[in-house]
Amino acid sequence: MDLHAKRQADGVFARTDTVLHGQVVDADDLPVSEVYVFAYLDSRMVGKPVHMSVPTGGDGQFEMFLSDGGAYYIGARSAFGGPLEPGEWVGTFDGEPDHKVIVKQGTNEDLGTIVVKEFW
Amino acid sequence: MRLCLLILMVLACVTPAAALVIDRDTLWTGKQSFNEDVLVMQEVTLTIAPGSKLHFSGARLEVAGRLVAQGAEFSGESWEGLRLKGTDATTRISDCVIKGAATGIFVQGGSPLLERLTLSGNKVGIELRGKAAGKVVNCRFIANRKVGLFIKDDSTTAVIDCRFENNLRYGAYLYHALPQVFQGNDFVKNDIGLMIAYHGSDPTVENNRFEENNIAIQVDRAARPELRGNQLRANQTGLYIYRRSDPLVTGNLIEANGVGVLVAYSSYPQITGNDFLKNEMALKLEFQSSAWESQRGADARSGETTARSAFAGQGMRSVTEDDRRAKRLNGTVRAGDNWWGEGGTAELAKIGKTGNPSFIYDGRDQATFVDAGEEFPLDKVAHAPWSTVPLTELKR
Repeated sequence: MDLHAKRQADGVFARTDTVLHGQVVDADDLPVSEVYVFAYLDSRMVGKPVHMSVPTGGDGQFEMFLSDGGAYYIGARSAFGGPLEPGEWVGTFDGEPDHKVIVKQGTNEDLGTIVVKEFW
Repeated sequence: MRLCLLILMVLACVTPAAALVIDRDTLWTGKQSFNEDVLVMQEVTLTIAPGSKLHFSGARLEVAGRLVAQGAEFSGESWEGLRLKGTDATTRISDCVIKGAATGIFVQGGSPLLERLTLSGNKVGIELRGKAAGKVVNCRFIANRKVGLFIKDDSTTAVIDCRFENNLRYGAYLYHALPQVFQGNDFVKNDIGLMIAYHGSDPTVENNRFEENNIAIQVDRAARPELRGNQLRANQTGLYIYRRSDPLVTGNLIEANGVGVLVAYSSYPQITGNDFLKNEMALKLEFQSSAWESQRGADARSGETTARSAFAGQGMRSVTEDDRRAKRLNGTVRAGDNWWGEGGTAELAKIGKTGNPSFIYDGRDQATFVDAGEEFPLDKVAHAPWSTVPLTELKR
């Protein structure tokens, strides 16, 4: 069983020592609640993510616990799975044009803000 | 006697409650507050007596069994609202006020009866999904922050005689939904009164009234509803037909709007049998060109029809380009057999079918528009033949 599969088996929200954290905000820099942050291995960010956060709270803060270091493509939206629907918040980590972040094993890295917008 | 099975919970004062699973028939009366979720199990009935006041803090009332509530008030802080999961027509919520929730009532499937409710100050008043049926009758959707009534996901819920007022974004939004009946509703002072969007949203919207909205009705992204017998008065824009949408617009009274009907981006509606009266501009075309559609339309939509990534903003339900392609591209928008008012009729009598009516803005007024550095001809409206008498029987 590879690390990501083991992670799924252990529970996607289980704490690990490799962490991405940050804040989900809207275009006015206001925190957005009830948004999940996802990590994909695939640059197209399709299919199932390998990791996800719990939904953000009122402060928009998130933590995502990863099974391993490496390259991840980061997105955020209100729902997990299914087609995007009107009224959903959606956005990507835009620190890099391809939404990629390189994470070192055993570190807690700050992604800064992920800006989401409502899709209608 | 069913009543004998009820557990009477008469509380004279506010009573904090812990997490609660209701697994036998229960009656609530008086004031109660909850700071954790309440779950009504399948086969179980929760009855809420008239005059009850229920307060939720960061919690929700979820009903998998049956809810019978009349004359109660539901409110709270950071609370999620009522969730009806597959409840049948014996779930009836009537004469209640539901306010301040994330979603006042979330209906996942089933066929509940929701009547004479007031939903105010929620993020979403009522959301119906999962092929929900049932009825929403005589409800008031007031000042909800995003959407008064959101119908999704092949739901067929009838919406009759409701009022949508001062909702900040949409009074009602139909997304892949086909209400059995959508009639007799009033939309007043909303940003967008009624939004009908996306391919597969083809309801009949009949005999509703729209007044003083920014946009009374918007038909968007390949939706093809039938709009019949509605009254659109004193809105900034009466009907906005946008992004490859081809509604049938017939038998409507379109009066005293800034723009009566605005057609944009490769939309080819059929506009016939309507009365246009006293609009600043009765019918206007904007970025509307058969030439543009032939040359660029499919490419412009390719992301929406092929991509599957929600993060590209393009993960809507798949729809083929064949579904969305315009079937008839001859540079005209059909708007024959309408009545354009007495003044309009007199003007048409003078200028004839090839003239340029002052109440229609099209390619006769603006020959071209520019997109990505290239000029495209603006379509023209085929306004002939026209009626010389009013066509609708709506009260003026």
